Amino acid sequence: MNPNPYLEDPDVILFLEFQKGDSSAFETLMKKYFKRILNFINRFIGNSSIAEDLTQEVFIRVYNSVRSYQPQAKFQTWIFKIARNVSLNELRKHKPNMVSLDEVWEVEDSEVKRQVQDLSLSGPDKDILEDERLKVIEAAINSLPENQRTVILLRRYDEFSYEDIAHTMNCSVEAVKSLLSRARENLKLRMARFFKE
Amino acid sequence: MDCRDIQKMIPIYLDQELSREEFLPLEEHLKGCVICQKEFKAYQKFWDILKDWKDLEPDPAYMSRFWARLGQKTPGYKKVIRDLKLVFLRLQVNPALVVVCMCLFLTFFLGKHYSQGQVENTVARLSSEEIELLEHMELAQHFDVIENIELLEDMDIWEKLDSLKPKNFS
Repeated sequence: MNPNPYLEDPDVILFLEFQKGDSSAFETLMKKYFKRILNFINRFIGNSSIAEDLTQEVFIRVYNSVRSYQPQAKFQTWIFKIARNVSLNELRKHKPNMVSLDEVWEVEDSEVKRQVQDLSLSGPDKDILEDERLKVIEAAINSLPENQRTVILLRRYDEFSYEDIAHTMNCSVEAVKSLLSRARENLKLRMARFFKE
Repeated sequence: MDCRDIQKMIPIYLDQELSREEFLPLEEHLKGCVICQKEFKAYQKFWDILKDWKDLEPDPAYMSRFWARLGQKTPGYKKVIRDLKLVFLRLQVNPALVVVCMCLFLTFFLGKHYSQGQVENTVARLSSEEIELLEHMELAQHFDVIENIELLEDMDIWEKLDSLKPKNFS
């Protein structure tokens, strides 16, 4: 009988300690993953006001699954899979609060179509430009289809390997490569007109 | 490989996930193709720009909020079971032993409660004369004597009643 390779994962070991009754092991895992899950969910759904609520939901699901838990993946891929499912459920419940790059934005009391400035400029309005830069990035990521958004977030912000991304999304490594390729192409197209070279 | 194939592979090349067979031809192509070099720089630039989206910091009270929320979500009886399980595991106490001790305790407690209840039921059925009799224990000591006397039919005994009183009766 082949030994379970996931038993070498230190986070799996911690969760198994929790399964035996050591609640401090759960708190250690929570401290390690809370911020990462929070930011993944925040970037995925594009709504920081409920991101923490959803993050709590992820950990409640993890906590409640302790009795039946059997390591079948790295702890990291398992918890991010739960985070993705929670995020998808939220998106399907509510219309996503997406920012369109062609949206009519208010400027003081009048509504005018914003001309997004060349964000490569630096100068006295650097803070405003930073804010617009962020809006462009957020909008570009939120405009991606959900699978492409997942691979971009896991790769760029959590530095998952292609294999870990594949396990999280229940797909092959080749599928991940294809998704990443298309996602980066889409991001480049969406962001290029705002970031002049 | 044409430029279209090369440009598809650039993101994977940037991630250093290309196989050796793919990596070498791509590098060779990039050295000599200005268009693909431009694409490579564009991919690199926008990939770097994504990092400008800074992380959110969690609320410092997130841990205590989690435990409070978990407490609300868990039904009362499940919380009790969960806490008991944690106690058993920590103390390494055999649950069967605990159950046996609880049964013994309940048997003792219920038995005592039952006998006390029986006494109370008996007292509840007593008449006021009988209760008065119990309150005067001296009379109770001689109750068996009084019980044997056919008082109502025998006038002689009524006349001699005084002599039947115990000496200490007041």
